[in-house]
Amino acid sequence: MTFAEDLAVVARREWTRWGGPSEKIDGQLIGFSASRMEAKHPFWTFVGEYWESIGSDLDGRDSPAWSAAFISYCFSQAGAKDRFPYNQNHSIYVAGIDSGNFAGLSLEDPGTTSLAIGDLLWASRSGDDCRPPPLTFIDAQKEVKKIQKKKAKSFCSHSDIVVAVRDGEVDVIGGNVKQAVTRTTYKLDTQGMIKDGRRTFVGVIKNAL
Amino acid sequence: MAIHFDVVRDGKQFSARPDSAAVFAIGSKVRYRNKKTGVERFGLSNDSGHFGSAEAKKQLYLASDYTGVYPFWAQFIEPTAICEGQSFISLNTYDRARFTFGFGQFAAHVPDGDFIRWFRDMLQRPEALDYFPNLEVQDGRIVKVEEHKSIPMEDATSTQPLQLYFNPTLDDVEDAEVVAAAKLIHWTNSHPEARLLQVQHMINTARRLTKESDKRLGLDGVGADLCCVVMDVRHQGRAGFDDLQKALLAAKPFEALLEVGGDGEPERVKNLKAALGPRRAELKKRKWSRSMADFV
Repeated sequence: MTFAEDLAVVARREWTRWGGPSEKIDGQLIGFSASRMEAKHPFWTFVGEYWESIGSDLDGRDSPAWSAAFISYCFSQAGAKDRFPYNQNHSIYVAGIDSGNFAGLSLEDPGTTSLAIGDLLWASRSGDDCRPPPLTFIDAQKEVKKIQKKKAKSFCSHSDIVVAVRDGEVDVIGGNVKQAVTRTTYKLDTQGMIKDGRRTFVGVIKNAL
Repeated sequence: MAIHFDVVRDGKQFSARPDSAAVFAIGSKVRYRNKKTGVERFGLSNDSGHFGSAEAKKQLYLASDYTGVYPFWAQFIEPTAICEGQSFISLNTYDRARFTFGFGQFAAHVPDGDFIRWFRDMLQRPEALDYFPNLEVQDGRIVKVEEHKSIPMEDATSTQPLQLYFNPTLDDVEDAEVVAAAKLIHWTNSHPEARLLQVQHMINTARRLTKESDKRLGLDGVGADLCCVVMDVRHQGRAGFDDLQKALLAAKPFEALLEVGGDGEPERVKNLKAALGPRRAELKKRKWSRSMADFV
């Protein structure tokens, strides 16, 4: 198995551990056992494990967004060791990847890059205490360069791990999606590029580890 | 940061100015008289024949713009889109829905209906704070966020708080109504993903209506041209399953289906016939598959 496949296995394992919450292609939600699963036992303990993977002492009952901790946990569990820039903020680890210091990982344009298992699908988001996020790949790339040069702070965003690709659809798994580890199905165009109005996708992290 | 919209009124015509940018048309005040009750209501419209129609026509839904994403479904929904005005920014605020928007005429009065589902997804887009900074989706429902509390705007039985937020009364055109319309029009014009989301939700609606109709009418193996008419009838709600079943069993089911509900909605039926004319041959190539829940 490749590392990318191992990463998808870890993501699927975690999703199964949460009972399989899913958002289908038509937005239908299934498999959520509570409206805020992350606050229920044992799920908050799983979140605590995600924090632990990046050296945080948060135990999972805390307020910070934990989706980047989930990504970091999955890379760690899949055996990435020092080949991934672990961080609790997506834009910070993407800046690390885009610096070129992490061979096998690269930031690509979602408008021209088809998805494969083990890739990360990166979307911008808004939220409390978030500065206006970039809404295009070009702008996201500019922001990432500024972060690398310490000329800008992080911004709010979200990544999911690609676990399955079909004709016209992609399945991704991410943490802190509707307060759970959730499998979401998004639309692909006929060329295999992401094309779904539910999110603003600003990058693909190609995973050739 | 939230965009501020100023209301600009010129007689019955309403426009809006976003921050310091150029004024853009919203619609005109129209009167709607309920045929049964005689009650008169007032609201905004940018349908053809009213002020703003030229603006609405700049944002038309064309299947060809979306066949790269939805090769078949983009075509399947096009006849209904044409009948509904075809504009991504189509607006009316004068009937019992209180607020209807988009080329699918998503109506705000139906709990968990197409407007509510679509608007929930809109509110989760990153630019939502530019338009509706005090609305959020919490636990799957739209809420208004005020200091220290969240006020539910919709639930499984009612959307009334959200309807009133968009359109406080049907007695006149209020600033809140114009501003809500301005926000949705500006958002839709400015962000292609917002238009894509509208297409996605119209396709979700069409797929759901076809699946529901299959359960009642047995559409497995039936051509998409016939299913398209069935979907349009169900989408507009102009007839029930009994009438559709009779038409499907007729010697010429396509022609019979086109007449269903025609007494009450002759203009709609005429428009649907015209829209299906050049598209029927392509639609006929596919048939509904119950097992796939799709056209094959």
